[in-house]
Amino acid sequence: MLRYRQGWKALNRLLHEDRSFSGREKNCAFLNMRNGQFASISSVSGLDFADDGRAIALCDWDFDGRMDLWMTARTAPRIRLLRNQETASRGNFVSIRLQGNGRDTNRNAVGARVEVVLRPNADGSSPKLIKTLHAGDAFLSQSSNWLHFGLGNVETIEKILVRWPTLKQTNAVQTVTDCQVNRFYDIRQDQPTAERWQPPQNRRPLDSQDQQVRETTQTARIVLPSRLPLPEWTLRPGFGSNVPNPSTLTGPTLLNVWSTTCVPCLHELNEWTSHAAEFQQHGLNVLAINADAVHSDDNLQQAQDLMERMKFPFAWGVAEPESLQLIDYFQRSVLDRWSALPVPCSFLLDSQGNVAVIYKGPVTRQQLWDDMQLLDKSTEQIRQAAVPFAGRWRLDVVPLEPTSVTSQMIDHNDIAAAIAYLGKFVVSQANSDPQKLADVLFVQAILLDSQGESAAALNALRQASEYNPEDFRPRLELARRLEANGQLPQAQQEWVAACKINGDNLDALQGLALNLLKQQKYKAAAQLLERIRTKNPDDPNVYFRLATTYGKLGESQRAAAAYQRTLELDPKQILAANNLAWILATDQDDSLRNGQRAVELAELVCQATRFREPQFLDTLSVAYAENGEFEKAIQTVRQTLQQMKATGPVTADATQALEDRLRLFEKQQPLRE
Amino acid sequence: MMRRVGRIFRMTVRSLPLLLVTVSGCQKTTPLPHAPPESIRPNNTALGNSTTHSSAPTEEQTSDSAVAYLPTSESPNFVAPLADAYNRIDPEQDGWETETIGAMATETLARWGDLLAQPNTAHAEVKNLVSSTFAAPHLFSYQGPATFDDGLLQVVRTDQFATASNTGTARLSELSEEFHTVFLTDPAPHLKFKVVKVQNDSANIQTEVLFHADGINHQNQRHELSSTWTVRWQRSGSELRINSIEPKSSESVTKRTSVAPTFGDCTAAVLQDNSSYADHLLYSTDHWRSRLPRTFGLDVVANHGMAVGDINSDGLDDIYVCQQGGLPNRLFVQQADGTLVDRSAESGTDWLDYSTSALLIDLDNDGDQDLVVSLESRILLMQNDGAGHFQLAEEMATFAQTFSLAAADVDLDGDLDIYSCGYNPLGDRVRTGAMGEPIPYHDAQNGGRNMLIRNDANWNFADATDAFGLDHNNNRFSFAASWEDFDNDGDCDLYVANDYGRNNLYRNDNGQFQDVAAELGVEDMSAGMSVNWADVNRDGWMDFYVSNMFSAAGNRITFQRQFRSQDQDDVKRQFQRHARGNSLFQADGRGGFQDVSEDAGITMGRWAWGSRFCDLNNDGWEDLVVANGFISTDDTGDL
Repeated sequence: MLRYRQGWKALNRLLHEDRSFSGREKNCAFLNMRNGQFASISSVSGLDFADDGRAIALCDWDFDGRMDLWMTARTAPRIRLLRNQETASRGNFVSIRLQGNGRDTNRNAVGARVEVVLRPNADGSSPKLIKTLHAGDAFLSQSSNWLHFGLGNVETIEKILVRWPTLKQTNAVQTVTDCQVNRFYDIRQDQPTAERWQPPQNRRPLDSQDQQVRETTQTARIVLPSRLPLPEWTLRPGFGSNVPNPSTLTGPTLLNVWSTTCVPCLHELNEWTSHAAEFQQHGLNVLAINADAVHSDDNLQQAQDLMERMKFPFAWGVAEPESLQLIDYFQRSVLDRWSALPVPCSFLLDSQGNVAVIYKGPVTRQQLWDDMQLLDKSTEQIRQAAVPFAGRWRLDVVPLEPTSVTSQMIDHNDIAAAIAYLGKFVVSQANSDPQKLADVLFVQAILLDSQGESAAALNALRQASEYNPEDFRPRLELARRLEANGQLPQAQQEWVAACKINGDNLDALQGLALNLLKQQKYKAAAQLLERIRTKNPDDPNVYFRLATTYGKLGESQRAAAAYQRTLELDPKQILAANNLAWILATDQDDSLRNGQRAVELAELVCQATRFREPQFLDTLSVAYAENGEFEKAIQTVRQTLQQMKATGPVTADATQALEDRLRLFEKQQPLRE
Repeated sequence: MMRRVGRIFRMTVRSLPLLLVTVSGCQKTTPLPHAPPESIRPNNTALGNSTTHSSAPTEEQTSDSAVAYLPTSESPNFVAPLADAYNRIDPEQDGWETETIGAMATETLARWGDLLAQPNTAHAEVKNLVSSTFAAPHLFSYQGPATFDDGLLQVVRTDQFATASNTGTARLSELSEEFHTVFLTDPAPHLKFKVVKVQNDSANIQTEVLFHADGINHQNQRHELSSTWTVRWQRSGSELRINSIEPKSSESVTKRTSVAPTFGDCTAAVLQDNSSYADHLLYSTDHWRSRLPRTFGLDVVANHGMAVGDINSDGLDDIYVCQQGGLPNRLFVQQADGTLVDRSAESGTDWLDYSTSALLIDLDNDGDQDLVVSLESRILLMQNDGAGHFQLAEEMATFAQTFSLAAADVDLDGDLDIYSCGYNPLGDRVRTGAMGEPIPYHDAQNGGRNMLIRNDANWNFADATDAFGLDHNNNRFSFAASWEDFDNDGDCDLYVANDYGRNNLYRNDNGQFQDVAAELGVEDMSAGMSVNWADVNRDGWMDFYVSNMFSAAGNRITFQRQFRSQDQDDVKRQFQRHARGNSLFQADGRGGFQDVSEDAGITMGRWAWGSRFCDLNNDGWEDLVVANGFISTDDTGDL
């Protein structure tokens, strides 16, 4: 499944990267040869153009009695009106438009079945053509509601039947006569006759001509619907202006990527140099970063000379190739179509260093001054400004997520960059939605963990919890990590917090229970386990844990009951059987003890472990004693000792304890605890 | 020039190098109102005046219009599993030897096609194409009784082919002459070969090849040929040479009346006076995908449809066109002269959100057409004031990315209800990409939920999916649906075409729907994209056509023993079925259906989307039109 998922993901990636996929396929048409077979007429029909075709809707646009098509496509042109331009050898037709009464039948008469009955054949049969009026069918399309019937060389229509979509039984089927071929008719539900409809005159001739498709351009102005920081970049030491550190720039900044081999870049830098005062007036910093190091270091000195001769008045530097790679990931992540970072390319950054607008290709100064107005606009205003044509939005703005930037990095195995980027996002957007920040920090923690940076991961989780104290996931992860580190009281805090947020989550409840047990807070643990039991009444492990907890608290009655329930749910739970046998054999409470049952259980346990486990043999011996079988009890004690010796050196304490047992049993006394 | 077969198998994994592309300021057609105006384009004078002139690159090196690529210094570094997945996309690297053979065969056929398409090629180039024993009968010209002839179109079908005695390159030359005799007046006929099956048993290499050619014939008529051949091969080093061609069947269609095709493109004639036509619709989806932020709702698949209807009750059809997110939907209103005028803004229908489909229907029975439009996961219901101005009256949240809409009066209470097709479940589109993440691929049941919106009159609408029993098997990736009374019992039934697996046929049994697709044998396990009903054989019962994918690669691979060798035969057959192509189900007159796809000869609709019955020649028999093609780019190796 992982292999499949990865394959699917790779395929999806390729589709973002301009890979052709069943492309340049020509549309098809098939001719009904009236014998159950169809012939391929894709070419003679003229439909064999290579669009990425999508929807087809039918109509008779020019009212010439032949079917025309509207089609949409993924490729340009994205729409086509294809006129059926046959003039010779045309068949007859009749075209029907329906109107329901709008009371018991929908006004459009969608669902009506129309039968065009032709003159009877020689054998007396009446050939008929049927059509149903649809509103929306095929793919993403609704055809004209004119129902068009081709009639071939038929000259006479016997009658037309309309079965209206209605529950009414009377007049559900209407019969219309007097319709002639090659005409258009309106048939209304409450009118007995069809009314001839005259198509309008003076139509503009529909000449066919190739559509003048527009070629795409490499320049683009992309207004981001929500702001994201650029990934961190580093500049090559020894080159550039005296302002090497971009973080020292305050206020809006235009970050420009340029190359010495790119003439439009140089024009642009030159123009900005001549209008430096304007930039100052508008309060826009410029940081030009040279991309030539991607190619080689050969041009870097040339870049330096060039900028010095130009007396470039703004900050500039030479970017490390890795930094450009990150900037490239960024610009890809904004778009659905991923293409390479061009030069020149500029990024308008707001005062917090977040990208507001991306310009692929040169940008005019006027455009910059206009776009600076966007910097403090609302998200909705920005969205309106980001589209090339006016219109109305209905759904909420979908923000760009920092995780889509990092997914580019992760796909290229640059996890460190992804971690750094998420960190930068949190810093640069410290005032944004805390829930979102918590989400980002949570992802960062997972990435940090994958790099073995557990301390940093823990820190990120802590921050996430601070930003969104109500977020369950970082709490849970924090608790788990603290628990694993042995920081039990701190872990307890997080477990408690997690349980408060989601009191139904068993991971959190059980985590807390274990934590309490480790801290020997048995009473609290028992209470919690009872709560877990009510939520999860069929889990034997919960009962077992509960039983041991009650055991620690000295509540034998409850412990025994819980062991009993454990065994009901999981009869093979050996430890439960053993522990229950022990209680039944040794408890102070007379009413609780049951020697016979203790022996049964202990024997089962020992059989299952082939009488090799000293711990279980010990239980068996005390069970025998409780059941009055002291000989067996004594033998079993000796067997216990043998097994202990067989598995390793026996401690003096253990030897002493077994000897005490022997003395007790020889006195015909059972063990009491 | 002939167009070569898309070479699925030759693809190599393209790296993601950091390329710097020089973008010029001199764009002749700038789409955005904010693009640099002519007056501020960089000019050489400014540069000339500066002191940088000597060191600036010359115009010859990188002119303003040139595109420069700077190779990156480092190779890309994919996360290991993803790199593995990339490699598997190339079937040769994924261990499919038959795909290598298929690629070699296609290469040879393509070279032959190039020669065929050019009448006067030197015969020297012919020599490596065929073996010395190459044999083939007549392939391109055959006489015989017409299978069909209505005076407009003549079809000749045959499985008898006149033999020829020559062999080797001599025979190949004869075939060239034969081909050129057929397409005598066409300087550049089209040819296409598709290798659809590969058999590789020890020394015997055999392929099944679909051959198609079209052009203008010796009588100056439009003519097309479609044949199925068995081609046997001889290995010669790294190449394959054709050893023999045995045609299995062949079909030629001649348009007898004129050289003009049936359909002509008249779009400009009706739309050219609208700036939006050129500014929106003459640009490809890819253009907009490279300048509008992704989260506006753009994807590469670009499933955007349209509705035809009369919004101002003047008796003339208008059109509503859905667009990607960030581009406003368009309402074009027909004028008396047949041209269209953009009324999107004044009608209040210029929605910018991602939009796939729309209906123009009378929801309140007041005599005008209201608008239903799907935006991502919301369906807007807009009321028409009668003059073509729309007010948002109600909206329904759906459970999924919505594709096709289909209206019908399901409960026959006199108003129209709406069925919406759900594809990706909510949120999944963003996470998994446009194609979703079907699991399992061939029978996915993690698709979005479809919805029946019941019209309760007075602009009240309710989700009645479950109430009608339509939630059964409602977990697939649905592309399309169509209502039809298939059992002629007076109420409407519903067929739903689903991607990645089985379709549904919901039979209306007294107002409750039952999915009887499996029972009636019409699940059509495949990648369903479109469904359309018509009475194909004129027996008074509705038949239906479903769009799927025809995949040459799928046909080649799924019939190999190696393909899913661990799976049961029925799973294999399900995968094979996925590659078969479109389906035609013919009613049996008793409420059931027969799959007549192969006999009817309508499966090869390529990667099909919208498909419709349409009587092209007005003879009263329903023909078929199929829109197809998934993603075409400038990329040379097709996936």
